[in-house]
Amino acid sequence: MMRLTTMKRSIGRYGAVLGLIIGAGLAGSSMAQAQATPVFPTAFSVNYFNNPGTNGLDEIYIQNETNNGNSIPGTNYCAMIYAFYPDQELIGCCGVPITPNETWTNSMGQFMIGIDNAGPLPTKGSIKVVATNYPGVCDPSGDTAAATPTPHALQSWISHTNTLLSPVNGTFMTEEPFAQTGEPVTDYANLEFQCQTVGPGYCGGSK
Amino acid sequence: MRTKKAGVGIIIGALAGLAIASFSARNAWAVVYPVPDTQKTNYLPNSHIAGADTVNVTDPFERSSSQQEVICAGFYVFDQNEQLQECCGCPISEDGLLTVQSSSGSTGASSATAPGGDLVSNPFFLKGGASTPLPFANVKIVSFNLNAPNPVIAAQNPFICDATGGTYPYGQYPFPSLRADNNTGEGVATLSLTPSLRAWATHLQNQTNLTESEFRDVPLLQSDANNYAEWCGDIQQAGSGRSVCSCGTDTSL
Repeated sequence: MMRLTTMKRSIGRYGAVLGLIIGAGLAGSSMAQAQATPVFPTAFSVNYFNNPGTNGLDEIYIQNETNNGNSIPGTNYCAMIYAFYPDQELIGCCGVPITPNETWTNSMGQFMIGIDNAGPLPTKGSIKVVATNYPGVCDPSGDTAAATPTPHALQSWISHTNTLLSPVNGTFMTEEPFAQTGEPVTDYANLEFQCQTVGPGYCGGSK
Repeated sequence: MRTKKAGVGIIIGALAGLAIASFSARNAWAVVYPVPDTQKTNYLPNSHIAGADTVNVTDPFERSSSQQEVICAGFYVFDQNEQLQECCGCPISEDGLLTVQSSSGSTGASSATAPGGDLVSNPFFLKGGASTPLPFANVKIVSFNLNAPNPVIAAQNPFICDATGGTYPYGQYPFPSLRADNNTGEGVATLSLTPSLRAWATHLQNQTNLTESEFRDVPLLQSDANNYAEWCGDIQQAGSGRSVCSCGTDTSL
């Protein structure tokens, strides 16, 4: 008898809690705003490049941060790379598979030659790396294989050569990790579309 | 019987939930939250040396129903005494790259049109009656939407990024038709905040070495942004040509 009463109370109590959640949820959803909001963790990262030059010193590095044997098993990922002129026009795009604990690298000069199908070669611009799963081939246009952006997969860095004129006079190299953008996953379809218009290039480089 | 009690519980709980949510919503007017990812900060050492420090800014978000293709990078440049000395708004498109030097080498109002940009050479305060570029600058970048288009000037320049929020549209955008809107440097200056610029600055250290760092995120309330805009209008109005920085002519659109 006691058990039955306790059970009834529990059901009533759980019902109240459930109702509380539903009520608050309904009210909360009505307050949602339609403004772009960054979401983290993100598969998107960005940086800039300058003075790439065909024989330039600037380098880009992309590492697969996962490790076989860890709680989250290591696996292959694609680095989908999109480079833009300062006026937002896409220079080119490419995709490269990267295995766990591997770092892919290339000089920015050679990288630009590989992806720039139309020219002219840029002097500076922005560069975006999207980490995706590995569907057998890394196609940044999505024409031959559909990939899905995947956070917690890749880390990227790029070096910048800075030439300072008088009165400083000198050439200096700096380096920065890519910044996490937090942009919505739907942005990836936009990037794929832009890549389709110029055609994917070759990332080249070494591992 | 058990079902009836559960049903009563759900109804009571739902009513309580709505009451709490309603209370929270009403009190949301009192509790103000930052607009995420809309303010970045960094510093510029030896900023008065021509070409010493460089700021690079990009807008990584692609155009969507909730993000415009072109947004604004509002530069608010402070000296070491907390005084806002210069400000300007620079349009930047999705995936574009805006590059601005700390100093162009020119001084005074002429630096406000420096092709490579200039953030420190046209300060509000004069030293000995002359403009003196700031030797050190603290730079806040606020990302906001293009100011509401003025139909008269839209044909001349549709990409208005007025860092004064319209309180003093004489300085950076001297369109006569804008002057009728407001010329007091006062009033409510509302910037339409939007994420989510990413920026980097190089730093000339001890005049011998160069380092670089990404701008750091700083929470920004809408009221804080409005303060920036109004202060910007104030110093540009009082400065009569001073206090306006340069975005440069290097296209980022």
